[in-house]
Amino acid sequence: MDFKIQTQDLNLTYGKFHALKDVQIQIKPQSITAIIGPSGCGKSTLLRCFNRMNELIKGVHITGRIHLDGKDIHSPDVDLTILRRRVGMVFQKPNPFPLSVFDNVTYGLRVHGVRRRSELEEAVESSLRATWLWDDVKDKLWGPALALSAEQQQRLCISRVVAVRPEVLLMDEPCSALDPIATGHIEDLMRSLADRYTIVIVTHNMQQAARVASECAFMLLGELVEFGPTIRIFENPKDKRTEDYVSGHYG
Amino acid sequence: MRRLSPRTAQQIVVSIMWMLAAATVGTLVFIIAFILFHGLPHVTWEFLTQSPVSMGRKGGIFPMIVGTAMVSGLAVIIAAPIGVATAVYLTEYTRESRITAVIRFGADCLAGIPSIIFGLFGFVFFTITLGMGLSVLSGALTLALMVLPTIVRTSEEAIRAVPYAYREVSYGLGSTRWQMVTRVVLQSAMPGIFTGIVLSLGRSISETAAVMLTAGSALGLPSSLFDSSRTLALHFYILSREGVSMSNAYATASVLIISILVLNVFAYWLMHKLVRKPR
Repeated sequence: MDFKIQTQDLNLTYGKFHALKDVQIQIKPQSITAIIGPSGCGKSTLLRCFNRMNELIKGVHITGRIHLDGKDIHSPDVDLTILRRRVGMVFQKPNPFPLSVFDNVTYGLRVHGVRRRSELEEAVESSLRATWLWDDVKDKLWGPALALSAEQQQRLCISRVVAVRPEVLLMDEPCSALDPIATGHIEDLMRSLADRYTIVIVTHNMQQAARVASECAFMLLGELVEFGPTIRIFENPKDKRTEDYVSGHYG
Repeated sequence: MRRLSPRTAQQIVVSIMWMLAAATVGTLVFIIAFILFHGLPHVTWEFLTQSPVSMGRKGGIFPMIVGTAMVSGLAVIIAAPIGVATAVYLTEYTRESRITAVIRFGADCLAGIPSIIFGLFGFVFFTITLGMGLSVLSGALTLALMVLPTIVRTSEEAIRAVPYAYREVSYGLGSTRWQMVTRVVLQSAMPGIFTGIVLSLGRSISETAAVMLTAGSALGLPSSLFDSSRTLALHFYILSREGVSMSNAYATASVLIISILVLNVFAYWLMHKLVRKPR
């Protein structure tokens, strides 16, 4: 089987802090992989390696390999803007730009040089349909995105990523700012997107991981402790530390 | 002594603050009213459209209006792009380092220098060394230097206030740094940047000492950037200082005040038009 994303001996240091230690992970295409673990274990850092977002931070040093479709994402001929188009990211807080709904969804396309009005309109409709937001906002496409509810804003942020037709969706605790009902809706949405996209979600909510993910990785202190099918991780963990965590002994 | 009840103390504090605020606003209103009261009766259509006669004792102030517009307008046209570019460089293109600290410290020092020093520098450098003479161009360049720190610092504040999340999202969608700066950062910071530019324009218009030494005090209508020109503020200064005509001095001051007021209102209206709705 060909993995979508694969890492080898991935190490990341932040100044003197060793944030990721020899991480090996293989992410299957068109599936949801969850990364769980207590705060500060490096799960968001790992996620941000996949679209090279850590490079924005001063003092970060990365060794080892990350392959996307078998190709090293750190190789010099990789165009960072194209990489980030292929590997989109949804952040913890809903963070639409203070622009209209339309301008938010088309931001990525415009950045990548799409100008044709019809193409932009088409992308807006299909992206908003993909996130089940179309019916809610089709009459207020030119209204301010910040006037939407938190859940709608987060769906808008997902649409904004989906609009550039990525292959991978990285989600960094996408529901932590939402109430349980909205969380449920976003989880349904993730499942519906999983047949088209490879989704990697970071969450400190174990139930969420159990509900949505087919594969699950448990991280602790920068180490990938255990990785495998979600059911096995939760029901039959091999490592004592995983067992302690999923049974609620810490975190 | 019996302690005041919290309620009474609250009432006393509020009334004191109200009086202080009223005193501030009242003084401002009094000054403006005083000047307009003495000046407005002399502001006629002829006053606005004619050239001064016998050193400003009679006639109008048309050349000064044109001169002020040219000197201040040019100063801001020169200073705004440089100032905003510097602010963008300081906030988005460098990391905090000794160099940025030095640039920032330099800007703060420049902002604290009295305008007459800028005037002296402009006189020595632009007027004499570069041979521009007493001219609109010398005046504008001097004023540009003078307002540059204000534009840099206000733009920087406005840019810093743009949430970091917007930058992350923009990068996350594959934008380049330049796209991120122009489409997200400047877009969001525009109201703040604009305020700084309008402030600078107001400061240029009301500046006297610096333009006296660089743009000169010629009474004629400037026909090019290399002509000497007297600005409104300087005209007012000369009329009152040399006792030429107090009524015309007040009239000039009225025009100055009203134009700054109109300019501010227009600028804010324009900003609302330009900044992409909705906000």
